[in-house]
Amino acid sequence: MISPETLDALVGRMRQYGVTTFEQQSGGTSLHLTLAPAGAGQSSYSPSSEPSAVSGPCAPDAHLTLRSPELGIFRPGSVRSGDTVRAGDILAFTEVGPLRLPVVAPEDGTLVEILMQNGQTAGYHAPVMILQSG
Amino acid sequence: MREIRRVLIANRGEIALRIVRACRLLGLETVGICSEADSSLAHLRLVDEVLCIGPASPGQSYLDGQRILHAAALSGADAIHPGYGFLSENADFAEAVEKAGLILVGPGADIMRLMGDKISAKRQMRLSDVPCLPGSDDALPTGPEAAQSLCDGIGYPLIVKASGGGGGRGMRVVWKGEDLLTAIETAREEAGRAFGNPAVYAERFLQKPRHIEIQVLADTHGQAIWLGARDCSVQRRHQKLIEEAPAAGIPAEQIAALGERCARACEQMGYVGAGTFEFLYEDGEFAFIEMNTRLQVEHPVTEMTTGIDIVQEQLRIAMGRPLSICQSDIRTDGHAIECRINAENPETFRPAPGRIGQYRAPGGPGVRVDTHLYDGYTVPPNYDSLIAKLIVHGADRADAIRRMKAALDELEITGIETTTSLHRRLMDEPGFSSGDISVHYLESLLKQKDAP
Repeated sequence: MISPETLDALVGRMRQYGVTTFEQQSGGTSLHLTLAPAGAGQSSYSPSSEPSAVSGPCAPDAHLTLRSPELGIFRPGSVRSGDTVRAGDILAFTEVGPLRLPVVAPEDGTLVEILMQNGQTAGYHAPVMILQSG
Repeated sequence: MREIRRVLIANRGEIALRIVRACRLLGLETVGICSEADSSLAHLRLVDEVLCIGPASPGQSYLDGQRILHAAALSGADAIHPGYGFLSENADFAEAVEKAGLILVGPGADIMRLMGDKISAKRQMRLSDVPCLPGSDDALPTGPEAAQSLCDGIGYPLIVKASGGGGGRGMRVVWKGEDLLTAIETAREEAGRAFGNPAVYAERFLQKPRHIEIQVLADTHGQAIWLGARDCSVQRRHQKLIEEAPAAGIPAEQIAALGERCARACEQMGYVGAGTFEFLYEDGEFAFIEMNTRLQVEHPVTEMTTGIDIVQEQLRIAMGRPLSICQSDIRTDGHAIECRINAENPETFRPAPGRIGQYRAPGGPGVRVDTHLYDGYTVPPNYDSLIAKLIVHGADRADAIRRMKAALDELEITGIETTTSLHRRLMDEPGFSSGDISVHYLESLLKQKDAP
């Protein structure tokens, strides 16, 4: 049986790293956890995008800076500068030990620039990609 | 000998800058870490690599051992300097650093645990003949009658303290025997909640003690030395505001005898690194309070009077080198005073973070400023309010006070409130000038000033 303390710690870790589902089978017990989306500011993990200072947040062709969700190693996906991307596409990962945390496109748009090399260390919320929305 | 090439500084502010400077003098590479609120810290300009490790909240950055170890692995650091505060006295962190195959600049986890528990620390002191207050040498018995007769034997007033406490937390003063059992009960409950350890002990309560402490250095070869005493009696709510070296008015032979015992205690317990033995001093006698197993905020006054760079020594010790100085080389020269400049209202002590307009440092012979301030720097609200340490060194105490007054007059920090003006007032107080003040001096002085 899993203790309430372990469960607490587990949920804390899931929140910390932005994991939303968890399944475990051991012996005769199985555990399935699905977390409700964390409220803004509740979790240290955030979808890591913010409009750049150059254009206003409402401008249709705003440049978005995508940020690393955590301190880790940057792993770009298969996208290249100039590619069209859809909201929700996973564009890259930040590796934290065995975990791979996605860098997700917050909007439809075009990838302008990849700011880091594969394998480079990315700080917490460090800019990793620039996206032009629209 | 353990090789150290690259040191990760697991701290922020003035102490991070102090550590970077020592590393650079030793030719060591440095890794600076910061929270998201701290990317403009002064020391990050001087390090070889900067990593932002987490959000502003200390629990998810400077207090998160896992993130710090992760940063060390990613940056190839082979040693971690914890500074003071944060994880510097956290035995679990020390153990995790050892397990990761890295060197923590400081003593091992077992020593941190031994000194972190006040009952085991006091027992260790008695073994080495370090003077302690009369009291229960162990946790108070749970039976009320046994506790009552034991405490009646110690005499009143006495103080009930949490074994796992520190820094003034988890304490109850008992003035009369009939109030004892209620005090023990509340102290136990508080200690259990605050420190996860309900054990309490009792010792005689001193009413007007001075706070005197001995700085030590011990290497991995079993040698330990003491570097003189500091007086840190100017305190408010157990937070030190002014520190000096040496301790005025206490005979040098008496300090030397105490210092010797502290150094021998280090050798006996296998202590490694820089450390401080804290004492209360009343009616000509010392009584051990606790040992700090780390670098202290007030280390510069000892550096000024002995000429020894304590942080460089810490790093050399961590590399496994023998102490570069022996006890007979240590001289105490003149008198040094440190004023802690905090970003606080000088009357209410309310934290006053915000953007600094202009910062101008004082200077001249015998003046040292340890600070991370610069024009336009913003003091974030998330951390300790210490923003600068103003340190002066003079021929004697009166000379040091004169230099401190001039330095405080010269110091300019605009844009936020600081405690500079409080320090300037204190330098003119007859009580402070006399040098013979207790740890309650500042609080009673502030109360007098508040009264109409």
